[in-house]
Amino acid sequence: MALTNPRVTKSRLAYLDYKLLITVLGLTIIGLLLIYSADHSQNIKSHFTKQIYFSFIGITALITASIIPPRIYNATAYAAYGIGILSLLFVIIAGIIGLGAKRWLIIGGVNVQPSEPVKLAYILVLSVVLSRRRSTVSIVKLLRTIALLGVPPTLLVLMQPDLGTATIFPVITAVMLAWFGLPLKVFALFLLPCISLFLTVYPWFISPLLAFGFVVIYRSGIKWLGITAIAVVCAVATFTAPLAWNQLEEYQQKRLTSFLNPAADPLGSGYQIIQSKVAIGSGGFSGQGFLKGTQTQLRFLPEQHTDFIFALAGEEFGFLGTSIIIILFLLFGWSGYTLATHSKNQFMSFVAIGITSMILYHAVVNIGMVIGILPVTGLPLPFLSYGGSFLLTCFTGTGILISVGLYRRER
Amino acid sequence: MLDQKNRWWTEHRYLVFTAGMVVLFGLLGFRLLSMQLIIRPDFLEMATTNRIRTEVIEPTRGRIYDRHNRLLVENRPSHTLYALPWTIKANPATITFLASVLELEENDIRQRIGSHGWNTFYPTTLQRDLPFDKLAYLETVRVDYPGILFRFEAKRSYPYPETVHILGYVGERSTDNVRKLHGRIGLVGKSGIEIIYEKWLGGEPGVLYQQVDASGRITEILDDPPPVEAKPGWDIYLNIDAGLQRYAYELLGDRTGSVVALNPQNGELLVLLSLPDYDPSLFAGVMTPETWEAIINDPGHPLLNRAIQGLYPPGSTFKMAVLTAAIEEGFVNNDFQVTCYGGLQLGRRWFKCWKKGGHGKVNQYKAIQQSCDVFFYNLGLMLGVERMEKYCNVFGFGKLSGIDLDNELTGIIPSVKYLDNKYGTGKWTRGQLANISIGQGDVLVTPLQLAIYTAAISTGKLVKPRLTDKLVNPIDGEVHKIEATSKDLKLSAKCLRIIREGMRMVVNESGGTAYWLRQHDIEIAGKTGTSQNPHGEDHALFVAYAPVENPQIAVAVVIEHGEHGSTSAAPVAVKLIKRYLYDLFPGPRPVFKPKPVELAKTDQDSLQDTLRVVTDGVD
Repeated sequence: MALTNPRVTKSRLAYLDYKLLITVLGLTIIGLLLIYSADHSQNIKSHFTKQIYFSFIGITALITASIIPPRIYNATAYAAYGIGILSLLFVIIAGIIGLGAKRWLIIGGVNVQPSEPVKLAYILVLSVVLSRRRSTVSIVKLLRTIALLGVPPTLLVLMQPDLGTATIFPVITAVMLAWFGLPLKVFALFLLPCISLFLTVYPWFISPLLAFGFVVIYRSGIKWLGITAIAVVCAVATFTAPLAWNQLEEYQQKRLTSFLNPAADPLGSGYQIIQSKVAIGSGGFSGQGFLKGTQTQLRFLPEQHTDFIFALAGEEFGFLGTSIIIILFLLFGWSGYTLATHSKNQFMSFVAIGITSMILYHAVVNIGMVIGILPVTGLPLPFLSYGGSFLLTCFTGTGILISVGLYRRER
Repeated sequence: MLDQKNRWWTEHRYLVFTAGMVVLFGLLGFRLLSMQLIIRPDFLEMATTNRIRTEVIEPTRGRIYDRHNRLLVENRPSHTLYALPWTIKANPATITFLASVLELEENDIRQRIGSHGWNTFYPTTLQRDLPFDKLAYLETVRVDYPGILFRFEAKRSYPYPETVHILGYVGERSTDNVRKLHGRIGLVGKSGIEIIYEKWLGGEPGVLYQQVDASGRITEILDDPPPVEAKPGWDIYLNIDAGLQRYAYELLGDRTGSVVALNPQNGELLVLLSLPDYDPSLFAGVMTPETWEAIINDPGHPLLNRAIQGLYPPGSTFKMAVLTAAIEEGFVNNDFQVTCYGGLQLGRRWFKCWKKGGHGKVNQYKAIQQSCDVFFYNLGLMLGVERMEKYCNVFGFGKLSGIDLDNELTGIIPSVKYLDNKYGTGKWTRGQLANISIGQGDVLVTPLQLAIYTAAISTGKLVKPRLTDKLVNPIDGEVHKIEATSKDLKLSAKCLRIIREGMRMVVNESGGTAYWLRQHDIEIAGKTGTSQNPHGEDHALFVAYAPVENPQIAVAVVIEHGEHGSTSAAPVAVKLIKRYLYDLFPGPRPVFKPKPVELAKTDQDSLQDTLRVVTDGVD
């Protein structure tokens, strides 16, 4: 129908978001340069060539995803989500073990990490739920539905175990609920038990926060019975936190805490962070120069083509390089949020906010880790880190954003 | 109401989200700004520490020559096997491999590698002087076993092993903290000349700056910072005459003892021998615990340098010092005589003279020549401890000589305080005094002190003995000379003349205790001695200098359990003197023996007396 009308087609192309395209291409090219440099330190080219293939496949995926109209995503969201959950189950049963975790499936001779596309499927299905909401449906029912959808992928990814990726689902949920406009007191209800998880670790910092939260709940009109119930939940969270911590593998515990004091174990758990900070700091304003960073080229910087690629950028391209990357991510976020705001369709708005926030969350957590202010969680840097599954997910996500942009005038 | 709120939110959420994003990325950017622009120098320094490793280039150790430029210590090429603890920690298979090649226990290997801890990039010594077959094998397979490296190094080699107590030995640097070594792995002087002149011999290490990657492999040798070249150690030229030292070694044979010879004019030490000794090459290569045990448990104590650490009662060789005290203090003049009946009764004890029948009338010359004990008992009783101590100190007894060797001992010259401490105040008797006066009992001296004392008698000045003549910088030939120093004895010419004459008569006049060793062409002045040894046979001593006029050499010989100075120690000294003087004046040599008419005429009477006495024994 739409395609038969040449006028409509033309006006749709006029809504193509070039800003988004240029940002993504810019980041990808920077990423390729950095991976080339990382390969150079080992006298290989394999990661660089593979990433070029992935980029072409990714661009194809982006174009394909941008052609598909949003209503198709809406219609197939549940199916995609179902397939995603099944593939995660399959990973638990028959995944490949690598780096102390089961994260990959072999499909046609290629290692695939299903947890990456599941992020997109989850965003789509959450957007469907939030956009279908009628004013007659109570918030409790809505939250119950979201919990039913959100808990399975989170748990399945935790079981791999992949702590970093597992945090994405609650974070995306929270961000999209915020966009939805969930009342502050309901947020407080969820946040209070989360905060009380850390009560035993930082008692003097957490207790006033908790007290403040309870005051907010009381003021919003919740009865004493409700408050008691929340208090019980908080108490349970407080005492289960240490138990849950003990359930973590030792390497996970170390990764989570070593960023606070990497010098305590400079040759062990603190090594990555120290070397990464040294790489970034020694870059200075304009960097050591392409292929000239000593931390990178002498391989002191670990995981330089994947998780710590930002440190490579910092060393060889300096503050100029890191600033450009940050500005490109800001541009990406700005475009995505603008799309979300200008979409007439509620589903498209939620999709845009979800995908944009997912990419930005990855970027913030990754850069925060590399510069030593956040724990080492192993989240890759979108468009820059080497890795096919994640790159394809990011390109597809961008394709969906562009599709949203093309169709944003339609209800 | 909910809808109203929602409308507000719908209008403002874009702003809130964008602001949140800007704040988060702003924090990251701010942190990057501080890391990359403000605290950058710290990180840059850490990056440099990461990649630049300094390798110390060991300097060549200085060589040691004797007075005739004969090489006493040279540097022979050898290969040393080192291990890199940090790399081997990651490749434990290397340990098993090394154990099989070096034929050692794995634990031994582990101990050697980890001796400075395992988290270090500094190499630790595994085995020095690696045999060639093992070297060749290791070289072919070392690619498969990371953490092994070889260095081409100079090994100390000793063509004159009998100089071992002079040269000392080298060994591994020992420290409680590997950082204090600053990466140095070369050997260091542990005793003798090797340790005394360590600062000169050791040279100055050079530095090579290498760039390494994360796995510790060297990627390039850097020009910036520029490498520092190692400066070789200075060569040392000793006063020792290695030929004479070897001759003395042969003369002593398998006997235990010590020979010290020096030039009395300037203190140049010609011979400094202590036997038994040890093989210095044992310390230069691989010292196994078994070898070390064998050396330190040897009943002959080969590590003891008897020339400077062996303490012996000087016996009759001490008598010149006592006579000097008596002459200088005015107790003895030309008319002084003691009649010897073969002993002296002191309280309840009979103090024997070595000659049972007695010496009869004894004057100052005869006392020395025939070594009459009764004469000296009398002097000792007259002088007392304090006066004897004073003149002993003048001759250098009881003090360090200042020789350029480590661990020299002072010996003991009894003082009132010493005797009070040892026997209780006032509890020591005239008996002790008598014993001291013939050099027995509490008196203890080293062979070196005896030699210096003899030299002092011959020249009238106390020289500081010097092993080293000069140090020479091998690069520019700069010379650092060790100057001769001496101190005048401040004794009267008459006193010295009497003592010298007594010593001359010991060897050259009938009745002297070493008369049987008289030489037709060299006039030697000497003194025999027997040092009583409570643990077995007496020690034999002989001190001598020659020629009497313008003395060129002073010798002290101590032979443990040699019984008589005259029969066992004196021949060694005499042969040594002959060899030295013949070498000193090759070809038609002067006769070092003046005609009898040139003898001292002033004391002619007493001399005639002495000459009439014929002894049947020697002391």
